[in-house]
Amino acid sequence: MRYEFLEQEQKLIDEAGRVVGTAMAGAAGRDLSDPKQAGELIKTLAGELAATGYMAAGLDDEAPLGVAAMAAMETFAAAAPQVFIPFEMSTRVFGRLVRHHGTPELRRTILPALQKGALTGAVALSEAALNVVNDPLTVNGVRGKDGVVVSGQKGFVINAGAADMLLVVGALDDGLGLFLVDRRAPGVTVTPADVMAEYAPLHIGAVSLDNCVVPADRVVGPVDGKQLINDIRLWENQVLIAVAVGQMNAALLAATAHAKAHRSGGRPVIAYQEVGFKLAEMLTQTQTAQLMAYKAAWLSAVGDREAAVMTDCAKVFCAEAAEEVAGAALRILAAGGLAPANPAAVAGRFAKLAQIAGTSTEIARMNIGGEALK
Amino acid sequence: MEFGFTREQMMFKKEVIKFAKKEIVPRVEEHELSGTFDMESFRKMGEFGLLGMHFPEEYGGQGADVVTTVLAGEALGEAGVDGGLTLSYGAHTFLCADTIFCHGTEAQKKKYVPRLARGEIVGCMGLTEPDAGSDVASLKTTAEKKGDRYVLNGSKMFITNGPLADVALVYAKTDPAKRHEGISAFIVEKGTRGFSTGNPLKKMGCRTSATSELFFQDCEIPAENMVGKEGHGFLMAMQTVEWDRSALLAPMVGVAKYVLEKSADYANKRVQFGKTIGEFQATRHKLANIRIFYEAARLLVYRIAWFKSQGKPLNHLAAAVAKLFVGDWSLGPVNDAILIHGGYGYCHEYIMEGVFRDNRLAPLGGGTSDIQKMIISRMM
Ligand SMILES: Cc1cc2nc3c(=O)[nH]c(=O)nc-3n(C[C@H](O)[C@H](O)[C@H](O)COP(=O)(O)OP(=O)(O)OC[C@H]3O[C@@H](n4cnc5c(N)ncnc54)[C@H](O)[C@@H]3O)c2cc1C
Repeated sequence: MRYEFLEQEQKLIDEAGRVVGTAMAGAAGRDLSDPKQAGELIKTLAGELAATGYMAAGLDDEAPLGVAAMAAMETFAAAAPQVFIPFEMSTRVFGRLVRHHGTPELRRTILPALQKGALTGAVALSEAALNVVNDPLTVNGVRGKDGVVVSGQKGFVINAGAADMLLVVGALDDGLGLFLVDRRAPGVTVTPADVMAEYAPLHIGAVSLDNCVVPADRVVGPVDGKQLINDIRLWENQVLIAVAVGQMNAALLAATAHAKAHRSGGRPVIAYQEVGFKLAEMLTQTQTAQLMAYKAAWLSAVGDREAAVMTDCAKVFCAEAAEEVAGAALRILAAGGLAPANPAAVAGRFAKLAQIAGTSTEIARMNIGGEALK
Repeated sequence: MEFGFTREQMMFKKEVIKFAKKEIVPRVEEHELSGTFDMESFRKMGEFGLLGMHFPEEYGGQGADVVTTVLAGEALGEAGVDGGLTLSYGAHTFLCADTIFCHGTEAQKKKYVPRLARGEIVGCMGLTEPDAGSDVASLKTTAEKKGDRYVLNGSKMFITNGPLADVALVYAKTDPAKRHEGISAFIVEKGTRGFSTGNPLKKMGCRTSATSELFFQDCEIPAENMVGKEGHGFLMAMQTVEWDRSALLAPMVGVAKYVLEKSADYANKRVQFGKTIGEFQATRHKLANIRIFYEAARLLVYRIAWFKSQGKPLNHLAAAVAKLFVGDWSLGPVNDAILIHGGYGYCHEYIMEGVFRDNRLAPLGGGTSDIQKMIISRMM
């Protein structure tokens, strides 16, 4: 047991935070709703973060995604959730799929490219029902002489609009297959999803595959479908947990700073129990969420069989607490908190996303409850 | 960061659960219904070594580390020991015996700590007064020095183990003109002239723990009964906070696991509409809520235990966060457990209502949730 970071771990967290801070300051003028500019930022960031050790977590054999990596992700997510989410989907989630389920050849070519910022990706799993638990996937691949012909529709794919490569999950033979598809390949159409303007930098899109021919060496499978889906969900959930905790921190910081600086009746508003106590609850929720996130990451890194259920617990707690903290921050920041770029408003939006995306809060509770009944 | 326990710690926890299930739990219901303290179990806890685990062997303990000590508390809750007995154990071990151990003279330590650790005598700690609860520094009980004796006058309120205690660690003002700096601590033995206790208070929960007032009327004690330095009482009381926020909260963490297991068991057996109620999504969601609370509370409680085990300076913020979370969030999951049990959950037989009543103390005792929020917001 050790409830603090080692020097080396802290260095990773600080360095990653510094790199992200500098990169985001440099990107201040960029229009991140433009797929090209967003894709370039992801590549630049990956290249720069690689030097800190950030990119290795989960992608290198020797570096599982542990507590320090989770804390570093949280720092990134606090600073720029609209970049963090597509970045992680594009690099780490995409990359871990290749690392754990891909062929040695794919690992050799794709992983280094992702880590040094030469390639961006997107993982296309969800379909119209947005539910991979109850309904079988309809996208399917049929083997032909030039490779596998893939057809079907995917929905709500994060980074679909900006990625170089799509990793499409679909039916293959008797199980599931992974199809690595060039986004610009014939037969591939990406349509931007109709989402709030603030989510535009996520480049969420629907992917339509119309007899798209995928070369055999870009096809993996059939693989153990259950394991594959569980892996994707776990890794996505880790990203969303980091978003929730990062955003709680950002909202808490903004609300605290405001409560100390803003005066009313001759005192800073933090001196009023209505405000000070709210902040105390927010801090309690944030620290608790952080520990939940770290414990889940630790269990996953050490390969404990409780990792999945703990990740579900962390996801539910962090995402729900993030919404509460964002709401409380908004009340403290009052009118200022309503500005679209205000940390409370941003946190509110991303807390919602954290509840819906990956394993939804409802499904996660079902999993946790089911585990208790075993 | 890492969150694992050692193999030895986990084995020890299992032993405690086994012991508690065999030696204590069978008597819980009887004492809960009659609202009486279970002295037999208390003595057995002493024999097992639970009442002073962290003291060195020469003081009747086992030299256990802080985390293992806290695990013992968690194990008691997990086994199904009621909140009253674990409250009594906490007040006895951590608020009374530990303070004497940490701040007492060698003679005081030798005289009291081994017997307290073995459960031969019962201890209590008297800080709260009828008019001084959250505002501890306003306490009015005085200790006036007269030659080689102190004379105590005043009263204490809500004192756990008060009616049974052989030894009371009492905080009183040696300098009534001062607030915190005027407070000192004293050992008062049962039977001392001028010292008496009130009848056990009838409480909502923790009924097996005897709580009462303590009265001091020209109660003379030898000057050597002062514990620690004059005027250091408040600091000493604050130092118990780490135990308060780890070992005293740990049984509530264990109880959450107990409640989860019992509720899951019930949900697997109870059939309605031709299905076990565990098959209904709403039941699973409630079970999930209990599990989430358990995991979260556990992390916060062991964070304090770990800080303490490393000899780090008292982390007031982390301590207040743990207390606030366990206090304010613990009722929801137990409420869910009652609902899973339906009407049976409202009846004594299924224990859940008892846990609910016991847990209601969490946001109150040892510093209310409001006070934790005050501490946290001041440190922000
Ligand atoms: C079962 C039980 C066992 C106990 N055991 C012991 C024991 O062994 N030894 C011991 O010394 N004491 C013991 N206590 C006392 C306990 O610590 C006190 O009850 C507690 O500290 C609160 O004090 P109070 O009851 O006087 O409430 P008060 O301090 O009067 O508080 C009443 C209400 O006002 C609120 N409040 C007070 N001040 C503020 C503020 N500044 N800002 C906002 N809100 C505020 C409180 O949060 C609470 O809601 C025990 C209590 C119980 C119920």
